[in-house]
Amino acid sequence: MVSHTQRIEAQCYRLHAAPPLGALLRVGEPPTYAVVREIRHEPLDPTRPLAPRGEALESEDEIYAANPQLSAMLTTRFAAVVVGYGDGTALRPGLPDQPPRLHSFVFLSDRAELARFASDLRWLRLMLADRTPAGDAALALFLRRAADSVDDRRGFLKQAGKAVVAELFSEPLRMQGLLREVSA
Amino acid sequence: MTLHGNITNGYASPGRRRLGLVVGGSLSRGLEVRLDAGNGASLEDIAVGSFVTVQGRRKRYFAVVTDLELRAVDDTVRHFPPDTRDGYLAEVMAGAMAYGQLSVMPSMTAGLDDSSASLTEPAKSIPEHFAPVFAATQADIDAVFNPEQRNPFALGTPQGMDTASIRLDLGTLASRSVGVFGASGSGKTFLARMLLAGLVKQGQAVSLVFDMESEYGWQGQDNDRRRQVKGLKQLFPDRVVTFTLDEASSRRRGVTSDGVVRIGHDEVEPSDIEILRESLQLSEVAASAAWNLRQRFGAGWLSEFIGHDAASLGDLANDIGVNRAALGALHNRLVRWKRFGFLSETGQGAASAGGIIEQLERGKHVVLEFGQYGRDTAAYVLVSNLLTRRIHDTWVRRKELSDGGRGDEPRPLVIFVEEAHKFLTPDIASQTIFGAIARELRKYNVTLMIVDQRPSGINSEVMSQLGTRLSCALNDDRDLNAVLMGARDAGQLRNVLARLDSKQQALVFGHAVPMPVVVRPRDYDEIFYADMVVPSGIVGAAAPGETDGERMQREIDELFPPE
Repeated sequence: MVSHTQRIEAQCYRLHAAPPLGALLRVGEPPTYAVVREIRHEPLDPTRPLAPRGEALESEDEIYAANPQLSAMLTTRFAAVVVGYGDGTALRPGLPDQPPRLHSFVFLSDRAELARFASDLRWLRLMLADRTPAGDAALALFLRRAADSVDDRRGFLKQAGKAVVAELFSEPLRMQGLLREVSA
Repeated sequence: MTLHGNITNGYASPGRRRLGLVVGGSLSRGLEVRLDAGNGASLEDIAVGSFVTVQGRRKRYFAVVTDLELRAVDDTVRHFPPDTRDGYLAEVMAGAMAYGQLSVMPSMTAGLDDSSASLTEPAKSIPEHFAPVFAATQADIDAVFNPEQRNPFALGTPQGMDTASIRLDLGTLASRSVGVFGASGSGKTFLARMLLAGLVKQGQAVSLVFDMESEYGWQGQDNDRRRQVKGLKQLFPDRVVTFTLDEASSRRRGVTSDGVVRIGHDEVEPSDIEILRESLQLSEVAASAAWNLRQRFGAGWLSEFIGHDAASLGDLANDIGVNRAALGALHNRLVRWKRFGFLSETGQGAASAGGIIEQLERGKHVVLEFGQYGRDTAAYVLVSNLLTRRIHDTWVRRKELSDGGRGDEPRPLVIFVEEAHKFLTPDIASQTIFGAIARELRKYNVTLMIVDQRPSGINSEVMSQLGTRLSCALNDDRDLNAVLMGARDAGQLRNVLARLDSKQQALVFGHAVPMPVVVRPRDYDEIFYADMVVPSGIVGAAAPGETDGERMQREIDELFPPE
């Protein structure tokens, strides 16, 4: 939908089928890597706002069952922060020299790819540049996912935590908030 | 490849405990070393005074930790400290946001190659940024302190290294005056006794010990362990002779002295009174009246003066032109000397000094025990100064004759005095023989070993002339400053000195050691006694430059002079 060297915005094929916040994505070919920082469910056409439905119904599922056109009129979009790119066989932290093409396919990285990417923490700075609580929350989730993908979870979290401290030494409250989310 | 990653010599072996990286500093202020918390290094494991090595690109540096500091990358951490109840936060912030920093003072350098370890030299450069810093090993200690010494004397272990050993070359130590300082109970007496024992065993110099509290001759007291320890005479019966001022005390202690010292009234000089002015609580006018008395009565002035009764002092004061009250005060003090059993009408001091000189010239070490008079400062100062003056005169004469090609050079002599501030206060240091000896360095082969708990009371010029200083813990700021007076890197060493353990730890710096080092002196126990055993067949001490064979021949000649 939108492609930028620092961020991408994508639309899901199916409603409510977004990758989770903090997930690592592989986008296009050559691959660009990005971390999900925001997910939105919204009308496909922004000029046609939603009307409230299902007042008399028992469950939310019944709303979709009673209004099958909703799946076509609504969509799920998500934004992701670009954190790296593929260079032949290597995964490199940083920004690609070109953003992914429009209509690039977006894949959820598997555990092995996540572990490979997370091993070099130089991408951390790109995510910290967001400077919003939402961005920090996405980063914390990403770090926890990455930790789960590596053999030495504790060692990874310690190393990543120290890297966070080194980057945010002048913002102690933000730093501590982020680290608390990582350790939660 | 990192800056230091390509060094392949054994020095950078993985067994070394890495402490951190050099991140700043200067040659004059010392180096700043950021502690490597990721490597397990903790400030809590490093003590001021510890010995470390810094691996530069082309040299390694031997340094002493002089300060420890808690640092933060940004000052805001003071205002928003982390919640240390969260273990993760505390773990990742330690060493990153907040870290430990060492101040280290590089003193010596050597090449990186292990084979050149012994070629240490004073540091005139500093390592580059990010040079790694390691805890010292025994090999490092050996490289700096234990090169090929002819007669190494094991003094003790360096701070935090119980298996390493610091060795001293006692010949170098004795070649300049030495100061041993420390608060009461800090272990300075044991340290001094140990050094004296080493000097006796190795024989680079002879010593004359003015033993104020009878702790060095036959036996001493270990108050902490409530036991008696061997004195020099017990350790070296053939090399040490003891004299006493107080035969009765010696008898009570079951000690047989080799001689008794007696001093005649006619040997006491007015200058002795001036030195004792403070101890005797005399005004300047009262003390200087002794000169008038000397002028009036000649050499027997003291006998004449204390022979006067108080009623006749007014006439005497008028006669010699001094203030009546001042003369009365002087008389009041000196009359008390009648109870000094070692003072007699007729002079035997020359004989006493002569006896001591004779023993010293034969290579014997002399301990003069003061018995009950050791508790009287005036007696101690009077006798020490008087005898030392005579002995020093003899050494000066011999040295001058030797320089003129008319005799042998006198043996190096170390004169040992306690409570040195009584002799060497700023007011009187220029007048006492001890001040003169300290100032003239080793010109006449005489040096001092002064032992004191109040070094701030000693004249600063004398302090600055001390070649080697060994200081146990001191409590007073003025004393700390005085010990370091004139020392290179005094600012950094002050921290080290101020934090010595209250017992059994000493900072050693100066002429006899290549760099300052904190030492835990070895125990003065059976093992030490065993180390002090002189191999059979060696009885006396070598003269300077004399081989064992030459010494033996000389001693045979002394016993059986050639026809």
